[in-house]
Parts: sequence; C-alpha cells; structure tokens
Amino acid sequence: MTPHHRNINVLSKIPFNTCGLRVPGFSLAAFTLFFGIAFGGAALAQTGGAKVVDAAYHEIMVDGGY
Amino acid sequence: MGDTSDWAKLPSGVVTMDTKGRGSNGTLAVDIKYAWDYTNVYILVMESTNQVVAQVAQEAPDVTAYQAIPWTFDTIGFWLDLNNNAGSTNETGDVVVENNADFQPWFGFSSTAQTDLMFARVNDSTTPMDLAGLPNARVATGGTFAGHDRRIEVALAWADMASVVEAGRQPGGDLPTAIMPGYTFGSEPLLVYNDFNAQAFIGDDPGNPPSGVDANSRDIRLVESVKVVDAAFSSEIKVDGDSRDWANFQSGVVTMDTQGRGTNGNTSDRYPVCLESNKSLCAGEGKHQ
Repeated sequence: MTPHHRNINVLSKIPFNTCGLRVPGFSLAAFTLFFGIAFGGAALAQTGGAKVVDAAYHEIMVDGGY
Repeated sequence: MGDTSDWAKLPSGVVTMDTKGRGSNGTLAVDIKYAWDYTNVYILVMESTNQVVAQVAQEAPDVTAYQAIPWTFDTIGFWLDLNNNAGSTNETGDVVVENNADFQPWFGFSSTAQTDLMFARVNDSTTPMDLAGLPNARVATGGTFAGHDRRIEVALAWADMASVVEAGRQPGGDLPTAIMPGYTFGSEPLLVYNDFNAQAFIGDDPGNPPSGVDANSRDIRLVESVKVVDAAFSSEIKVDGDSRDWANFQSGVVTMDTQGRGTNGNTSDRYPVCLESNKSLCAGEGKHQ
C-alpha cells in the first residue's frame, strides 16, 4: 500500500453528508471543490468501518482457472 | 483446467466467508478475490477447505434452471454499491442501505464447466432477474465438487454496468470515468449452499447484507499491481559471496529469467537469476541449467 492510497483511505472515511449538515455555511460546493482537486474527480465515497480489500490491476483470462 | 498463473502473483486481497452451518448439509466456504483493468472488474470465487468441507452439492443443470430459481443451487451473488454511498444520508434524508444494490450479479457453481450460469438485477434488489448489464460478461467455472476445488471466474464490463445502472448510482454519474487506482466500491457477497436455507452474507444476518460501513462490510479498492517484496533487517550480512548468512532471514524473493531470448536460450536452457534472500540456493543461479 502506497502512502497515496493510505491517504485516500483516511479521507474517504469522512461522512460527507453528515459533515456538511453540521457545519452551517460550509457549502457542499466547498467539499466538492476540495475533493475534486485532490482526487481528480474520482469516486472516493465513504468507507466507514468497512474492511477495504485491494483489487490488483491485471487483465484476467476468464477460463475457470485461478 | 484453466490457467493458474493469472491470479497467483497478484497482490489482490482475499475475502473469506462461509455459510455458518446453516441448513442441513454442513458448511460451504469460499475465498474471493478481485482484480481490474480499464475494461472489466474480475472476480474469482474459490471453494475453500481450510476450515470446512461441503458435504452435498446442488448445482444448476443448465442456465434455464439456474435463472428460474438460483437460490436453490450452490451460487453466489454480489451486492455492488458502485458509488459506495451505503450508510450515508441521501438528499431526502434517508440512510442509503446496501440492500438496495446498484448492481447485483449472480453466478452458479458448476462441476461440469458451464459458462453461462449468471443473471443480474439492476438498481434495486427487487427488479427482474435478467441479463441486463451482462452483454459482454464472461463467466467460467472450474474444478469439481468431488475435488472440493470448484471455482467461478468472472469478468464484468464497467461500461455494461454503466449502461443500465441509474446515473445517480454511479460515481460522478459516470462509472467508466471513475475507474482508476483508488476507486473504491462496496461489494457484499451472498453465498448460497444448496438453497436459501443455507445462505449467508458476511456477518450474522443471512437475509440482509452488511450496512456498507460496518465491520462486516467489504469495500473493494482498485490498486496498481506493484508487488511489495520484504527486505529483512540485518547488520550481519557479510559481502563475501557466501549466501548462507541469508538463509534465516524473512526476506521475500524476486524471481526472473530471460524467457528464452537470444540464440542460446530456450525453455530448457535459460539463465535464471535470483535476487537472493532467505533461500541459500536458487536453481541454476549463475550458470546455465
């Protein structure tokens, strides 16, 4: 796991909607701008307490093997 | 059957689960891995005998029977949360539940190497069971119940899922553009052993998937395939050409060869190289075999 991935994981645990509602005046646009710049618009929604499992990059030949 | 090299060297994590002794025929356990490229997400389901051995198989004889009543066969489904928003609050103030899956593909086990035991539901668990979102999906089965090595290997096209799942359920409204290292989606597997009496999500509730944000939930994160190799700490290495002082270290091994290139190499005459670690000898090290 690279430091980059670790940072993504930590930030992705922030419950976006809850934070937005609890901070009056702190607009959703600000969140969008922040995360849009930081992660290039990638979908990095919340993870919460879910266990994160890595999926490796590789083309797989689907043949029933492993 | 099958090429065994695809998954073995990948740094994909493993999701383990079993049917917890439900039903009357013991327990079915599986290990699940995921991989990806910019076209597909790949899933490998492997029957596991590490803790238990399934006692009775109940496999669909063909796709017609499978799609009619898939929960009466050995099978597995995946509750996919493509924008990974389960557990959050939506615009109407409701908590998004994982059971309302964005895409829900199912695949059957087979000891006869069938390649079409699949169907999917789209946008909710209650929608029809059909092949929407699967026009380019590939599924292969391998192994046998007798060998307790059954496996299901799947390729699901990102673009196919994007074509049928509501835009509001996709990351940024467009799934394919989100596919890159770091993209994370929820995936809660439902394992069915014989029939619905012995089904299991991860956790104690056989009828509902985890919330998406609790410890039983699983999020799948796309990563590059750089393999991390351990280098053990030691202040006792002597640089003297004698490799025996490496023998007790817990370092990993990087293996490679010249793959028969040039005029003096073929499959039986290669020149292997081992970047030595905890093995004192690598076959053929430093000389032709």
